[in-house]
Amino acid sequence: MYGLINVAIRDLVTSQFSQAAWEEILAKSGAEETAFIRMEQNDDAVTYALVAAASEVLELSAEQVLEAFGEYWTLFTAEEGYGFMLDAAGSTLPEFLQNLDVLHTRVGTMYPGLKPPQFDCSNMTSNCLDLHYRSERDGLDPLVVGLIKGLGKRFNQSVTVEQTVAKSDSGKESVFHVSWE
Amino acid sequence: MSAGSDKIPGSSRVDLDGPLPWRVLIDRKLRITDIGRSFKRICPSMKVGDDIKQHMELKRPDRQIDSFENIASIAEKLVIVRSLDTDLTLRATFFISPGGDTALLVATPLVTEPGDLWNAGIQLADFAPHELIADLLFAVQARDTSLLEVREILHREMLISKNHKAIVDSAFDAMITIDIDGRVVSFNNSAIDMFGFSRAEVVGRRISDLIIPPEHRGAHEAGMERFRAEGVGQILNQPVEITAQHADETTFPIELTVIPFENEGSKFFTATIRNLSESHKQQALLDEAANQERLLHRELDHRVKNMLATIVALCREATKHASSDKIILMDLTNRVMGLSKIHELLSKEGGKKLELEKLIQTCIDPFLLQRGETVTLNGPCLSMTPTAAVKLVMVFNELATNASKHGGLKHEQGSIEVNWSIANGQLELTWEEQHAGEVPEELEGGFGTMVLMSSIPYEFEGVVSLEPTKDGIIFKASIPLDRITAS
Repeated sequence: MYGLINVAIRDLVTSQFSQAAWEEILAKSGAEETAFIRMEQNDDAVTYALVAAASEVLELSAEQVLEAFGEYWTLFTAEEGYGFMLDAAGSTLPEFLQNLDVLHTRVGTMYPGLKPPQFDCSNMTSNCLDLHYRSERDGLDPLVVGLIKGLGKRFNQSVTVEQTVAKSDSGKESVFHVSWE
Repeated sequence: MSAGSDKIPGSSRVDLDGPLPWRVLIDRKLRITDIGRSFKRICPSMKVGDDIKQHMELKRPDRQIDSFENIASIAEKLVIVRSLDTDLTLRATFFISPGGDTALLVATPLVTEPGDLWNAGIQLADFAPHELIADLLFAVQARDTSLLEVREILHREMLISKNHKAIVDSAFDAMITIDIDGRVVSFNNSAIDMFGFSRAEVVGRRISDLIIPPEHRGAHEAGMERFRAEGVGQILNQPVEITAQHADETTFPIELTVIPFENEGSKFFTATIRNLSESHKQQALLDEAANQERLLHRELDHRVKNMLATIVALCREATKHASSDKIILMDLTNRVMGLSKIHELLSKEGGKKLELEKLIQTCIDPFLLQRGETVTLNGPCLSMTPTAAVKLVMVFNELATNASKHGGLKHEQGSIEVNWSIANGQLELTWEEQHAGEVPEELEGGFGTMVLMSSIPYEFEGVVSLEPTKDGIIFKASIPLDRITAS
């Protein structure tokens, strides 16, 4: 994963917990690098180790850490200068979710070696849709839940997310039923 | 399917809004016959039937889209057009249909910053999937993010560098960095103060020519050579005491710790240097103080033993000569008090040299009746060793005790005159009492007389005499000066 992800985890911890907690997480994760370069690709294992260490240090489950991170990611990318790109991806939650895949595809064209997830929408109505998530990586479903909740905050919409299919069961994708008011 | 899509040969089965969302079709009269879905974003007032000139202009100085011929002349070339509705510019190309009756304008917004999307009200979905402009914006964003990060890193580095410089410059110790050739790279403020060179005078020069005394330069160069060859050094990574040289060529002791380090593939050494001159002085003072303390302990031990022996002698003599217990008690009390005064005086003076005048005065003061007795002390300033003082105090204490009992301090009209002088390496001292009214009894061989007559000859190899006068006594002493004064 790109260093940007690890920088976001760092910012999440330091802004919502403390610098000391981050130092402890870094130490427990065994990360050789103590500073991450946003545009540099890191081994996925580094990110997974950070999440595991954060879970231990913050006394949260790994799922809670990933969900918190997903929610924070929307805010973080906007603050990191990607706000205009997020704006261009849609002006409403359903519009944004429909453009989520092309957003990741375009990001993938720019970042060599990026393995972006794939998102598709189905069963769309005026207040709900099913979001299909496919990724080469496992175990990141809670991150998607957090991401959708973060988007709800971004568009100031009350949103409910329910995972209806897990990749671990289907073997190919996870599906989230997203509804909003 | 859009209205004009079937006019493009071979495109009848393609929805042109997918591949060409930024397009406009115009006929030979420049009337708009078809508008792509995304074009309406940047030309919201555009509608079919309008003249293209109402909405677009060519950004060329010599040509405009004011005739179909002009358009045909720039066909299949890259041009820049401007939306008169929103002022947004687009990179565009005109294509003329094979029949020559229709022109197709294919364009894409010329946005080079992510913020332009917001300004133009464009979304990513407005671009055809294959359009690179949208991807370019992500690249631009990635570049901006990287630049932001580089700025942050540089800022952090600058802060660290400033902090490092502040620490080095404010360090109490001198800090000097040299390169592998022994040339000075940095010289902090303390180094400037310690060695008396300005920074400009040292940077780039060989350290051995600056602060290393000539006799040590060979060893320094040999050590550097060894490090260059073998990567090891005898004095590295540990404090060593050596001598350094000031700009004025005086030398002084220093403690030196040299740490080698590598930066960007180049080797350097940083030396932390502490001037030991002051520390050596302090150590000398401490050593002297410790010596003095040892001497004092010995002196105290010796003095206490002497004092106890003196008290034993006093007791023995007092009982031998006194006629009653009361007198024994009085004599002993007076003499022990005399000893007490000696110690009080020595304690106040801290074991240092004592003035003869002060010593005599101290012995006499307790016996003054404050009734008009006259005590006169005349003589030059004379400092005595503590040891000599203790012994002389015994003598003056006996004289004062006798004077209070029988002589010059017994009556209001009595007087004591003590004169001393120095001649031929001898202290010549005279104690004379007048108007005593009676001849002292103790002249007849009492303990006091024994002390007076034997102490000085025994302790200092001096000569004494004690003679009665018609109304008192006269005591004379001649003492070798070198036995009582400090060398």
